[in-house]
Amino acid sequence: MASSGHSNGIHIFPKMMYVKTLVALLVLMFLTVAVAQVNLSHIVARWGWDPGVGTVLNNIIAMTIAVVKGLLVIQFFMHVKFGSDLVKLWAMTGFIWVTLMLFILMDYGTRKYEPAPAFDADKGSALYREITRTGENPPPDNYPIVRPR
Amino acid sequence: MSSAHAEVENFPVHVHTQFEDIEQQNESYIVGMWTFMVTEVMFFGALFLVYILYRWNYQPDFYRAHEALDWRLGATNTTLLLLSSFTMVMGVHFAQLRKRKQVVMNLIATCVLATGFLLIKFVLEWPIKFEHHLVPGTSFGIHPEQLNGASPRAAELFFSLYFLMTGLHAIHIIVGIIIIGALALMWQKNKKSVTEDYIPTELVGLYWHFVDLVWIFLFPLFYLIPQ
Repeated sequence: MASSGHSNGIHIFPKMMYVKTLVALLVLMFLTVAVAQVNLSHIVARWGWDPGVGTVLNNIIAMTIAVVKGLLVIQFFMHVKFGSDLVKLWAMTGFIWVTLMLFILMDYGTRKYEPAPAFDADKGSALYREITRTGENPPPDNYPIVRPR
Repeated sequence: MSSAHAEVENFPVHVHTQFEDIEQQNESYIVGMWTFMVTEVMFFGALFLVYILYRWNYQPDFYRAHEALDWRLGATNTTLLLLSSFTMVMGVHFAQLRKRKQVVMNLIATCVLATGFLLIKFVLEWPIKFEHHLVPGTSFGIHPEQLNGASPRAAELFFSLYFLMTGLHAIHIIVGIIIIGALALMWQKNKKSVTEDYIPTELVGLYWHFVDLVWIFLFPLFYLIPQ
C-alpha cells in the first residue's frame, strides 16, 4: 500500500485509503447512534436478566465503537500504522498512562467491601448522602445519611 | 504512485545538520508532536476519570440530565469533525505532492467545517442551556422541569463535566482553526517554511486529528448515555 520515497523521506499513500477510512468512520458513527436508540435494558429484562446488564452492554458497545473509530483515526489519518517503532511507542504512551490511571477507580469500587471509618465521618461528601430528588440543593447539613455501609 | 514520486523527488528537502538523514529528521518532528499529544492525553484523561467516577455513581441521574442534550446536533457535529479530519489529511496528502492550490483548498475546507462545529455548539446548543438554567452556578436548576427528574446535584455534576470537557475541546477547536488558517495563508503566500517540506502540514494535521479523537469519545459519553 505504501510507497516510500528515498531522497526526501516522503511516504505517499493512495487517496482511496483516506476515503475508505472516512467511510468506515461515518458508518461506525451511524452504528453507535443507532445502537444508542435501542434500550438494551428493556430487552435483557425480557429475558429475565437485571436491567443493569443492558445498561452495561449499551456502554460496552458504544465504547468499543469509539475505540475502533479512535484506532482508525490514529492508524490511518495520523499515519501511525506506517510510522517507525519509536512513533508507535510514543503514540501508545499516553493511552497506557490513562489506562493505568483508571485503576484509581479500584479504590472507589472496593470501598463497600473495605469500609474506611475516616470516609464515613465525611458527612459532607456527596457520595455518602442520599440525594433528595425534590428537596434542597445542596441538602441541609443535618440531612440523614441513609446509604447503608 | 511512481509518477507522483518522480514529481516529489524533484524537490529534495533540506536536512538540518543535527540529523543523519531525512528519515531521522521527519521521525524527530513527528515524535516531538506525539510527545506534546501525550501531555494532551494526560490532561483530558484526568477529566475522563472524573467523568467515569460520577457517571458510575449517578448513572440514572446522568441519563435523565443528558436528555436535555440533542443527540442529532451531537451527531451532526461528529460528522463535521470527521469530514474536517478527512479534508485535513487530504491537505497533508497534497502537501506531499506539493500541489499548493489543493492544499489551500483542503485547509480552508477544514477551517469551514470546524467553524460549522463551533456555530452548532455556540449558537444552537449552549444558549439554550443558559435559558434553561442548566449552566452550573447559583441559578442552576431553578427550572426543575428541565432536569427531566434528575437529582439537581447530580445534574449539576453532569453539566459541570459537560461544559468543562466540551468547552476545553472547543478551545482546542478554536486554536486549531487559528493554526490551520495561518498554515493555509502561508501556503497561499508560498512561504518556503511550510512549502519546502510537508512536515509542518503533517504536524498541524496530527493536532487536528487528536482534537477529532477527543470528540469521538466525548460524543457517546455525553449524547448517548444509555438508560
